[in-house]
Amino acid sequence: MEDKDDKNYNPMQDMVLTRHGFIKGKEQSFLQNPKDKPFVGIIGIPPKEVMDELIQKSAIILSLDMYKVDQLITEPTDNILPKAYCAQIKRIIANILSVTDYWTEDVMDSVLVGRNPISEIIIEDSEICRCNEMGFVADFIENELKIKLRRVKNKDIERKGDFICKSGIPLDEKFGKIAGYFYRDMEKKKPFRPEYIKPKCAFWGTPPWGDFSIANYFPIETHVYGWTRCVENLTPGDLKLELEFDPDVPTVFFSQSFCPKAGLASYLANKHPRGIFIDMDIGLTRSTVAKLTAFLQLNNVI
Amino acid sequence: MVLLDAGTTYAKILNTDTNDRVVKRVSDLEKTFKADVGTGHNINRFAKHSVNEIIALANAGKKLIKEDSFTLLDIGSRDAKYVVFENRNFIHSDWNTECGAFTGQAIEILGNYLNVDYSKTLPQKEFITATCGLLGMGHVFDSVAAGVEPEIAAARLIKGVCISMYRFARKPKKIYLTGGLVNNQLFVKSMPCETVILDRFTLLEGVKEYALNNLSK
Repeated sequence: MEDKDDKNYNPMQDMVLTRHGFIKGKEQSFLQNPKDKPFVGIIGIPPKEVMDELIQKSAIILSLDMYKVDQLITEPTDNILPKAYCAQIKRIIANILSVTDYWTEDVMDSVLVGRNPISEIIIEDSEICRCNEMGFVADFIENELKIKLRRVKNKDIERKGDFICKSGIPLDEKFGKIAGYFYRDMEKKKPFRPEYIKPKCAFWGTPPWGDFSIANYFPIETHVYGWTRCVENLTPGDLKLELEFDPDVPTVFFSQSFCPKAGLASYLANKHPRGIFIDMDIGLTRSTVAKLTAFLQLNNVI
Repeated sequence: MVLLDAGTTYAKILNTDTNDRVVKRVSDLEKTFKADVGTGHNINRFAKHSVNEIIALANAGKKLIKEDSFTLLDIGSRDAKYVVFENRNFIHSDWNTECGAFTGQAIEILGNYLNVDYSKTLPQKEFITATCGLLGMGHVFDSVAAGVEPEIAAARLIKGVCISMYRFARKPKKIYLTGGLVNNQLFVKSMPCETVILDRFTLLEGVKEYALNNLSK
């Protein structure tokens, strides 16, 4: 049984992020019957106008970035993607395939005959977005899974603020709250604005999709920069914002292995007076934990 | 107190009471062997307490190096790591945890396979760059097949590894070097900057510092 004190605890495990927020376990059952409503998967952060349109249609919206069935996320993608590929893209493809499980059909058969219940997938495919690798496998979704695909560009430039990034919430919860903030904004709910906390260190990068438990090694006084901060601002294509960091606090520049953003993370880590570049594939290794904890200890962060 | 640095290939054992020092293959350690405290890739199997390798390296640097500012690089058989101090304060560290790994092991295997005596081989100006030891070995075999003498081809790979390690450690003017490759004269002579050798028990000095500060209380 996992608990919050366990360093391997992964708060995202078994969680599904929908426009109704994170839901867990049996509560997911409402997804089983979308009835006559459009059931739309989204990848990345589509622009506000697209999300408004989905709300108007009363669509059931599933974030394929966050939705996760189990930890064996590579298995369903073995014949689709190369082994050396971003863990997050593998997760997205696995997520799309596994949605069919709700209809208790055999996954591959159902998918191949076009019975995946997702009626449409909207992929944010901006010039500078979270990732261009997803764009390269999008044809698979359209041609092999027979799911309607819409590529949209997010050019939103109005920054909504970074209150969660600079708050005293534990880092793993920050990632969840930031993802949830996107939905809160969509539904015109009151923005979540936790109190500012003075930083001891910082995390720069995308959320650690391959294993969120890495967040448990950071203190609550961790500020968040990079693409995750762009997401809280609802400006995922804001490269200027993404390039920012705080030179006064030790900073971990993180990227998924095989992610194009690794080049940016590595470059900024060298530029930062007390920066370190850490990449991770699926699952934390002992060496990565040792490298991270040594960095934090030697900088008197923990 | 018995201290152990259990690397991927070699175990370094230091008895602090007798000052006895032993180096042996990890595969030759008795299954029942238990050090009091230690560090290294295989440490959890052979010690009661373990210390993070970079913490051990940083402690060792502070204790053994008198200069206020220095770079200490440890190249093992599987990986490499370094710490940088300025004015006695920790500035930076890195660890090529897996990628770029197996360089030390590859150099040893290559020497045995090609029957090259590294102590009698001259450093080369030309170099072979390789992402990891295994790919590097492939390049060496290709060079030998193309007519290059085996010891020259091996020396070019070593030069390539040295340049790669120098860049990895952020190109300092001077490097304090520890790890198994300190015993390889060709490797030391091939380093592209001033290189000061510390012995293979360096990490254990850091472990000893840790033990004195944390375990004796």
